[in-house]
Amino acid sequence: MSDATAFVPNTHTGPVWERARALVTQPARDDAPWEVVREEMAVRELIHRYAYAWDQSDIDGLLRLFTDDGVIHEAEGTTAGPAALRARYERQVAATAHRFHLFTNVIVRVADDLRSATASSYFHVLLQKVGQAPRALGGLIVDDAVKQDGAWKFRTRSLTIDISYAPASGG
Amino acid sequence: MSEDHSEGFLPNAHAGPAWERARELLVQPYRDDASLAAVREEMAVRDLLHRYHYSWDQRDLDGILGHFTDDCVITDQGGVTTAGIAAIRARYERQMETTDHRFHLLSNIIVRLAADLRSGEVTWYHYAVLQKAGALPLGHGGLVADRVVKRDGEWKISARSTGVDLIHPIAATPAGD
Repeated sequence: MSDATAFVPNTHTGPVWERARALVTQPARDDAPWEVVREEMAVRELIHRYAYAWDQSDIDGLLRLFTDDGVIHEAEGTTAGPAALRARYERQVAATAHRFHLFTNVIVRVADDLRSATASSYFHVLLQKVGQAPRALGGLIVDDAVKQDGAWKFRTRSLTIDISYAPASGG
Repeated sequence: MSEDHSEGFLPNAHAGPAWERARELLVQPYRDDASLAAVREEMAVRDLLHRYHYSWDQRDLDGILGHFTDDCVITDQGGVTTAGIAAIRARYERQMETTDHRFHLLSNIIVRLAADLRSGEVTWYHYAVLQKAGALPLGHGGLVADRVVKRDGEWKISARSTGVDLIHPIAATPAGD
């Protein structure tokens, strides 16, 4: 028997998972016109572009993906507005030398007016803090995205962590 | 299946019914003249697979079963079949009893739909962190090949072949450190 676990005690629970549950029970539209398909693909690209910017420590690039009133909700608290978001990312970049993000299980539902959308996605990241061994984190993010001046942006990102482990080293 | 999880790739990695179906699928060329209707249906099939994993990782048995047709057949790597929704329910119940937690990552999805947009074949990789009761967490990866059908406006899985290609140990760390 082992007490070791990769899953956090409250795995798959909490407000982020509740929002995801509400989202994934909404059926995909089987009569979606081309405009809806196009906007859904653009929202998916926004989610994936976040990984590229973050993994390259491109803080300006990250901030461009948020609206001016963009907010991140996480267990540590809420970070609101460009200045606070910049400070958050600067702290994390200083502390973490490398990151490698995977986003999957992306579910997107675009509003009828094609100006807002809600998305849910799993993330899994291998990261290496300065002076430490690599570790992995995984969890869920639910986004409220809006289209401003022709570009989709995050208005809120709500994230929760479900797994935390150290990848086994090779022998 | 071996109980020695130090090996990584299994002796039968990349073999079995799921990989055979995937190989057949992958030689079918991608349509570069796909209509809006075809793109829309392909996205709906991808949505089905992703929603399935939300249900599975949350241990939502009824949610899981809602993704399958009543006459679905699941074939595992050794050729053992589970036929019909009652048997599939029992299969998932057994898996839930022995595995406390799952975290699935889904990738490399290939979808090919029939010309009438009422059925299709899909293949995809899965990688999961699993934790059985009282055991160390494991990384678990493999391939699934699905046959899907659209019934009453909804895509569902009507046949599934599953394969496991690698299992490896994970060194757990305290959360939040």
